[in-house]
Amino acid sequence: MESTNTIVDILSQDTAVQWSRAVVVMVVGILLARLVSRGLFRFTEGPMGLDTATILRRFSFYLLVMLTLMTALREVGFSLSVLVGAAGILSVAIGFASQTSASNLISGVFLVAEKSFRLGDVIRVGDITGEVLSIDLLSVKLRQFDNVFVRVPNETLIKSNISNLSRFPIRRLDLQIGVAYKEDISRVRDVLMSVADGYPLCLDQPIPLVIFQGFGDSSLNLQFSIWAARENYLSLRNEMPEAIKRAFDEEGIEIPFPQRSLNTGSNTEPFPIEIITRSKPD
Amino acid sequence: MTKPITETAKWWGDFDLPTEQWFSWQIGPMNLYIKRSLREWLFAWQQGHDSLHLITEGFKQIIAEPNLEGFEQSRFVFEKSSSPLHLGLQLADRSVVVRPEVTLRIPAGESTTLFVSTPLWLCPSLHNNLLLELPLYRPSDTWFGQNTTSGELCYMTKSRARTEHTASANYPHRAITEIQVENKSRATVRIDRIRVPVKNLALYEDSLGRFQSDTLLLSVHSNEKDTKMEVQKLVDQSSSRTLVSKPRFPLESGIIEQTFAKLFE
Repeated sequence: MESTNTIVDILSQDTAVQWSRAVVVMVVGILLARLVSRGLFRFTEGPMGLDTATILRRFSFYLLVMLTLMTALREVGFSLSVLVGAAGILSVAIGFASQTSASNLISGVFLVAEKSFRLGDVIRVGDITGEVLSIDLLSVKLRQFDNVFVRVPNETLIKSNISNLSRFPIRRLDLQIGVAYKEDISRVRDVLMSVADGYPLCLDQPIPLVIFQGFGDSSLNLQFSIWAARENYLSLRNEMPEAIKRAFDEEGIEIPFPQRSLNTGSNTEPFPIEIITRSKPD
Repeated sequence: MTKPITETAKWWGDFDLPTEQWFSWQIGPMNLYIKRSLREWLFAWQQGHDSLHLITEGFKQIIAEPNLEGFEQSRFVFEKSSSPLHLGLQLADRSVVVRPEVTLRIPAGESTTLFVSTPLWLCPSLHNNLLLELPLYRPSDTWFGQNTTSGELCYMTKSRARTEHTASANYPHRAITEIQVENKSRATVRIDRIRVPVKNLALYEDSLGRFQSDTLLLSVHSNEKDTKMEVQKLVDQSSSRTLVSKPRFPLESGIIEQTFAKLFE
């Protein structure tokens, strides 16, 4: 019995055993971290929303993994006080090196708290428009409509104007239309209204509007503002100009080309016109 | 209880269709062709925009293959196609905003009954498996809400908002909803638009083949918070009304809020 205890003592002091323990602690710790973070995600997804729950899951997972790592290191004989001391010295260097990451991290927290957008929303940042795939600690991942993956750092987002195209259920489309000076604006307005009335995806309320924009170089400029459900916006944008052109053609309303008036100097006499006739061969 | 092919009066319900033959339906503004093959069902349809189209042909067999240019089509494949095909009917899948052609004014203390009609949806199914949902005509979309950020996406239909049921035209592709309005406020109320929550109403057929929904009771109060719309189950006095379909989304309380755009005068 005594000899057995001696062997155990010897083994327990063995480095191999220490490292084995550390490995076990790491494996169990990581599994536990996964379980806890997933549980936290399920618990918070409903009341706090998908985005916040995702961030919380990641935070909790990395925190638990870090604690597990520290425990494992202690198992193999590392002194935590030494580690903390070293970390203090290193933190200055790391701080300088990771300014951008820290900024992104803090920006990410503000972005989530602000709730400017959610997963699945379509947003526009600068010249990038895409669907939000994920909101992470350092960046937001977007899928553009040409199926290009874009990573936008959180710091950029917090400094930029973000347009959320999915926030409200209906959207307005503004079409710029020019008609010839000879056209009667009220008749043009009636035709445009009848086009909107005949297109089922165009909302009846809010009422479509025809706004006179001004006397252009070659045309009377009008803005035709119509509304559609968010999911039908693209159809409206594609099909409405076609319907307007068809209706204008049917009604004989002219959409003019750019025109220039040429004067012949101070006297503004008309240009001389020479009529050339060709005699037919006998 | 399936209908023989010769019976064309009733255009909805169960139909036993033989294979490899075309059949057509003309229901108001909708043209529908159906063909059953050995392993598939083919549906082809075209919706018109004329909501006041009255022509209805129950269904008839087509000898030659129809020209389906401009028709939308759907194919459903099976190991072996089966019958009968059930052509069910439902009220719209969203609320319908009814805009009276002439604005209604109801003086203080008065009550009236309005009859408005809303479009029907055709729902072909096989052995309780829903295959399609086709509006017999597609009404325009509209928005019903206080502002552009909060509200409800609805369909819009213009209506004469008749005050007598007998005067209502019997359009085959529309169902009549009776709305009893009571003005309990101290001022004349002007009704520009009424949101009819048809998605919460059941659909019935009377002995004349007309479609009706549950009745609605709208009480208008000076305080807008007290203004409520209640759904009343159609009381079957003549025993001639039959339930066609249950509400898509049954109401728990039977009370619906924010139902109409009104202005006191």
